[in-house]
Amino acid sequence: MKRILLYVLPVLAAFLMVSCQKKETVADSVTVKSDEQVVPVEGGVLSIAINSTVAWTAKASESWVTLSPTSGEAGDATVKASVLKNDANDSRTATVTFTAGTKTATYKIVQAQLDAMNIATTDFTVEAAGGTVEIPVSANVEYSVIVPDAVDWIHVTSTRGMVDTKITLTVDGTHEYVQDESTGEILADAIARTANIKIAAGGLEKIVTVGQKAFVPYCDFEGDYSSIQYGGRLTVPQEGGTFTINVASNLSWRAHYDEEWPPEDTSWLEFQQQENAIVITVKPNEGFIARDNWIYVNAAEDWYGDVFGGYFQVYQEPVPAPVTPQLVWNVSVPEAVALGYNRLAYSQSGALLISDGEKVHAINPADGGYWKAITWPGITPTSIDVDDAGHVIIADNVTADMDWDAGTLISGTELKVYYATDVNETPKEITLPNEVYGTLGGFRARGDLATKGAITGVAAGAMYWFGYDIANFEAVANYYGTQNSGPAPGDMMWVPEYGAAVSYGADLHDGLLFRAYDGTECVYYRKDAYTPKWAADMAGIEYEPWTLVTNAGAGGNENQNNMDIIDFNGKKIIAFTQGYHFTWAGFNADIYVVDVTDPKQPQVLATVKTADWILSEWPNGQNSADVLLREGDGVVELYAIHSGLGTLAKFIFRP
Amino acid sequence: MRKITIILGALLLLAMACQPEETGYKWREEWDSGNPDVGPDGPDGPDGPDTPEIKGKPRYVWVDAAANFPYYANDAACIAEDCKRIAEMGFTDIVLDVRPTSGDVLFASSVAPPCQKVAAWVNGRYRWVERTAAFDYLATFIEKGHQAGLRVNAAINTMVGGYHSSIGDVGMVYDQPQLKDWCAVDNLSGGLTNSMDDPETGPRFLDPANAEVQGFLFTLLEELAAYEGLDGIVLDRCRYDDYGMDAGYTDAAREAFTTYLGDAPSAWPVMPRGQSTVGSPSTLQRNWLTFRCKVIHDFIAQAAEKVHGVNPDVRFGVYVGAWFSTYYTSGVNWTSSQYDLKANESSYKWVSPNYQKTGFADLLDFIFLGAYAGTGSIHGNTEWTMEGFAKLGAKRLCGAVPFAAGPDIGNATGFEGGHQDALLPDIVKTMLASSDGLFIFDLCHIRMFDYWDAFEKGIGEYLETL
Repeated sequence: MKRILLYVLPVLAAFLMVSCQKKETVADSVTVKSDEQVVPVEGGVLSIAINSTVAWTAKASESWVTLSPTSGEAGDATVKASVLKNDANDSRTATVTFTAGTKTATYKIVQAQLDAMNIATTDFTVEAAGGTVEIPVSANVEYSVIVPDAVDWIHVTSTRGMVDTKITLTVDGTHEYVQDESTGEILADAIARTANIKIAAGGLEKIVTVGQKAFVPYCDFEGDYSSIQYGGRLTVPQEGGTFTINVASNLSWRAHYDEEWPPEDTSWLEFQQQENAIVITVKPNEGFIARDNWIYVNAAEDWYGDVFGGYFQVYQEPVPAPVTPQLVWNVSVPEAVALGYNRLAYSQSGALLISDGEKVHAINPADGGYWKAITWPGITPTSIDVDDAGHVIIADNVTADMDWDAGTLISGTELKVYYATDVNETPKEITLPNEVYGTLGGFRARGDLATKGAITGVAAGAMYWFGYDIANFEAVANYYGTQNSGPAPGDMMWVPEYGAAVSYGADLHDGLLFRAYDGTECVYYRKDAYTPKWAADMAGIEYEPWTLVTNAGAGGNENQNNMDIIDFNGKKIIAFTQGYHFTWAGFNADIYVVDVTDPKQPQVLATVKTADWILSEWPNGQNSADVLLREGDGVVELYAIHSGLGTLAKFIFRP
Repeated sequence: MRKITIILGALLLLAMACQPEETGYKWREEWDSGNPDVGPDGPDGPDGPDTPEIKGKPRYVWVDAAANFPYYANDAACIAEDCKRIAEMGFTDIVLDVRPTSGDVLFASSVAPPCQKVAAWVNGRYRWVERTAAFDYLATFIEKGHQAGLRVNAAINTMVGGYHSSIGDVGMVYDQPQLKDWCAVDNLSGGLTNSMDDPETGPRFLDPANAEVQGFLFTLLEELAAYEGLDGIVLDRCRYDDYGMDAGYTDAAREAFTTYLGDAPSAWPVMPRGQSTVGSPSTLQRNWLTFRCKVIHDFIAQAAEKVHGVNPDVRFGVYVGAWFSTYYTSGVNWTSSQYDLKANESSYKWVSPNYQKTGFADLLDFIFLGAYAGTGSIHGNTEWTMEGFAKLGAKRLCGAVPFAAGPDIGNATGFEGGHQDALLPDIVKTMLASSDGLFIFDLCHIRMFDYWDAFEKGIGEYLETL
């Protein structure tokens, strides 16, 4: 047994030796299961799994990494690495080194940087003309540029960027302008619009404000005409000429007439728009009336139709007109000679009309040339006139036979009045109370008998005037005046055989002008023409007394004189003729022109003596004359006819 | 035949592609070529003979849900009979309202409650009319309409969710109080007021800027687009609340407007209260008016996508009032985005380059212009004449989309008492001459005033001219 033990022991020892020798030959080894870990900027704790064949130690390269444990025995282990928050704007890396005997292993910890974006300037101002804005950006992360949808005037060429760079914005020009709210003045340094541009980087966000200066528009007239830009007048002499208005503007502009209501007549005025001027050419004005057109200058360039520029009047002087009647022509119209019955009117179709008691003659008003005779079957045109609306008004009067003492009609009087749209139309009768007692003297129509007007006349035999207010060609009121309603109660108001009465306005209540004779040739005015037919009806009623307008003096009677009235340039002008039954007193058809705008302060403007217009002197006997006033081309046209001679004359003047 | 149609259609598309782009108004020939797509369940089945081609321009009659409810809600036979009569008058299309202002629906939906009652005038009294029948209202119209040779288009009242009436309330916003946040907020005399707190009777509008509202409506439209055989979908009341410029002040809108501006609005509400028009808006006000149009534009753009995503062939369109000059107050710009506002409408101070971008006509397959002028204003060239509405509509749409225009023949501008039979042929003629199609609102007035013969005469005279 001992011998066996002796044999066994060496073998066992050898085994043991072998065994011990094998253990000593295990290599040092340490392994890390991953190589690297990225840690957010906030830091945190990592678990690092390792395996080592021998005892090991761990060490971090940076102080912001703390390990636990820092050593261990062979085998598997987990090391906790606590990573502090990274307060720097750069990422950083730490290395953890594990050492096991002669071996090492490393583990990298990468920590993200603290995001940073620095924009030194966040407020920018751009000129109204637009331009570019460069925004320097210093960032350690990618950023984006966000322009709000509402901002369509800023464009960014690149919406993303990285690290030190710049953002370039393109800003459109603007025509927006800013006015002072109280004065309307355009403010030069105002900001027209602003926008907030967002620069976003990770969780960072910066707002950059871009403001744009307001546009300061201008469109100015320069030089001599700078003062007419806003409603002023360019006065052009009668002979016309060429005028240049210099225009300076930073907008596109155009000159034009009113496009909604263009002027009626542009034939006399031309304007041409040049790059920096408006050139206006005006033809000579051959008329007696001034003329004008308005020219507008618009400068509108943006979406909102902003308008600058102005507007001005081109006003051209007329041919100077005489202030007192000036003879244009006088001619003889033998066809119209009709002692005592000639009456003048002017048709809307452009003919001067002369009634002769039986028919009407049409005369060319330009030169007095005879055109033709006009008759209407069944109508004897004792007198004729045209109302202010152009209706031809015809009176057909039969001479009355009166019982003068009783003041009653024996037989024969009848007044019919007709109207027609013009002389070529068939006249229709105007319904009147048939109460005219006497031969019709002067007869006039005023206003528009279709709506509101008046007709007046005198009835010679009964020595009274009459008048009708007319509407829709029917009498709505009638008035009478006798000698008892004359200017001085109790005085003799002797109405000559052919006196005249005209309504002061379109309504007889506006007043009446009464051409009469009470020893002298007079014109009287009364504010309210109303007078009851008979003196008895006047009892107890106060009427405004008659006012003597003008007294042309004594010298005759039984004259066949007439009177007319016109509204011209805000004035009321009358003309009447004064003649004499007998020639011993001299000439026999003077024309008086009187301003009766204020009938209580009349102004005699002119007296045209008979000799100055008739073609030959009437030797003696009755004579008569009629006058007609009409508005011409900037002047009053005065027509007169001498019945006995057939002399027809035209005058013009501008009172 | 169907293959031939497809080939012809393809050829037509190719030919159009080769033509230079049309910039002005032009009659679009595809309107002539449309057949009612009767579908597999049509009168002759999938293999039956083709439906005769529609002759001339399309003629649409609107079928309002509430006004016609007493006739059709429970009576499929009446639907069949009236479809036949409509076709006999010469109309080619019906536009069937399947979502009255209560917001409940007359079609199968997984998200919207079914319409079971509407408040309507019946026999001189305002009362509830209930629907007890179980048949599918829209499907029945599609079936009966197609049998009569009509195309059937469905219309929905879009931005609404309930109706407050003198006899009670109805609609999903009343059934589900949590939906109050979906409702419009208007600037009323008491300040900003949720529509649910508004005592005035009328539709309860929804907030167009609310993403949940939009999502709900998109689902609704997708369900509609899936309806077999449906020829078209039309949005009605796709706009802001009836309060015009006083509408739209929800929190969701404020947030979206802030994003739009890039800054919080300096005033809220933005517009002064009670203004029917705005003369010279401030920049903020102009942006607000434009923003509202953008909301509607963006909604319609997405809605078109959703509808065509389900059914590329169904036509998608919108009804609008043709009075562009004041329609901005409803937050709607229905013009083509090609329409040069600066050149044509610069007298309106609310137009801008951004406003032009909100024009949505180009997104549509067809559009309906309400030319609601009075009986004395048929002819003309301006708004508030029927012809003028149509002519200006053509100009403002730039040929981007075919349009039908026509009057409200029950409108209190001379139509309200009926007896306008003599005018109708002239209206038909005028509208068809100045528009791409005729649009008549509403069938209930044809029935009420017995205009069947007048329309048959008017449309017949038109057809004779072809």
